[in-house]
Amino acid sequence: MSVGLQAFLLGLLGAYCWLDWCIGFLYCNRPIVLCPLAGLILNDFQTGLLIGAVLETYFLGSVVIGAYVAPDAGISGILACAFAIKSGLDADAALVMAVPIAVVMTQLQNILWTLYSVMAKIADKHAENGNDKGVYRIMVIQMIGNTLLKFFVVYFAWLLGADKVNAFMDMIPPVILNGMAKAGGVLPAIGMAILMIMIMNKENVPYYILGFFLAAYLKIPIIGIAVLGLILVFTKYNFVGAFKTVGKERKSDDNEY
Amino acid sequence: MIMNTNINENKYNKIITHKDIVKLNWRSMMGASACNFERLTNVPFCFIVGPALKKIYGDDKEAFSKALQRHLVYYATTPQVYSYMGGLMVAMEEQNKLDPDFDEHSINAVKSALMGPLSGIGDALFVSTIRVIGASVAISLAQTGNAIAPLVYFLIFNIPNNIFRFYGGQVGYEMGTGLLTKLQESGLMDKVMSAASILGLMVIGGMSYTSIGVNLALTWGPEGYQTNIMDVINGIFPGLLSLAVVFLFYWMRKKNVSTVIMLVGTIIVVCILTAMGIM
Repeated sequence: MSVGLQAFLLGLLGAYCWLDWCIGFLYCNRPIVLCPLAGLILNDFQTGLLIGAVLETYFLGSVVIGAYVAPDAGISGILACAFAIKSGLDADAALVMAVPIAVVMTQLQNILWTLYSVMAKIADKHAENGNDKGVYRIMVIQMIGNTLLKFFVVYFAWLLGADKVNAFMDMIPPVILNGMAKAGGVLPAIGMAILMIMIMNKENVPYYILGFFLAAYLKIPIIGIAVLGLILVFTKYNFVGAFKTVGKERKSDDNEY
Repeated sequence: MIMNTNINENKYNKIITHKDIVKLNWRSMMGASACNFERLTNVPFCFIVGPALKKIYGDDKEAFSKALQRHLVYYATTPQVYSYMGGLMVAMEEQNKLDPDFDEHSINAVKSALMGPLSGIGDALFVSTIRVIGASVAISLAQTGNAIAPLVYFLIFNIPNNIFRFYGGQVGYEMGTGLLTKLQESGLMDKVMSAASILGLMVIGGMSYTSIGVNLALTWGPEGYQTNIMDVINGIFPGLLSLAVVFLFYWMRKKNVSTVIMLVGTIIVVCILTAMGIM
């Protein structure tokens, strides 16, 4: 198999890393599934399987939780496995080669998602005009963008080698890369502010501060905050008593019939 | 098939039918296909509930466009609970259409109140438990060179995954309609909705701390004895800068500054501050 065809097929595995999220989060964009397939492409299924086991163990802890995006296990898995099979390296050494590319991938994705925030405004415009199809179109375009990014990172990494990809990244000014990543941390504040506009009024402002305070000072997880909030509103509005009376009224209604 | 069980047409006596909910379940498969930093998976969420909204508000173009905008707000949960949340939101939208006194702000209040807790439960269940079980079993198989390993992993994760998805919409919708009817009969609707706003705001408050990252790189003091200003601020009030930024955006939005300007402005300002070494 020519290197070009290998790069294309490995690139498809890379593209699948995003497509997995679009066909029902099957969670198969992980080394345990992708490495054997990468092995199959490079004609060494068994080695792929073994390396998949090693890498899956490494990445077992790294997943997307909330807004925190962990280093891409799928992309690193595919490339580490492919490098290992090609050069006879063991899994650790191959991973050392692959992880910088996964980091590059994440940096490029940061830029993309920051730009997507701007692009999502077009969806807002379509919504204002009641154009639902327009909103969906934005989703599809962003989906294709994400998929292509992953395809091309793996494609070029295999075609040109890891060094060339890193050399390419050195050409992008670090200010842009860092700035975009840091902007990614600030942007959710706009999303929060828009939600608050819809929910907050003069009387319930303190509760927003309370929620923030509970998380910031006491490090209470969100579920804990929700439980505290539930207790708070139950006592504030005296729901326990209110629901009881409702139940009694309904019971006496039933008795009349 | 999973999708056709438990059809109880009494539960669907209004506008939405079982078919709409099944459609919603299927569409929830694409719930994470697009993502952006400002509002995460807001566009796909709108895609999930879109057809149901169209059915509810179809004849009223203005109400439909307002509903679409309502579901383009910040949205982030574990993907497995998308269909549940979608079903619940559709039940509330239906109520909004049928009951002229219904406060439409309560829809997003409920969504926000549930978002954080549902993610917490979903992540713990799917990401930290089921996935880890599947991966552990598959790893031990793969280590012995057993080719069935990937398939075992796929099945262990995806059977619960899909059961959740294809029951989720229905469970969410039924809970929503059941609860809303009960609240309306009892006259507690107003109280419960303002309680939901309080709960929603507390959760948004917590999420503001966990999901926003505003950091300064500035230090002060003599060479070798520098104090990081960020540490000083966090020592007094952790996350004070995040809180300040949220309220800045809130104030700007109140002044009708367009979100496009806020977004592009933020990106440019952050890049400049990074270049100057402040952030």
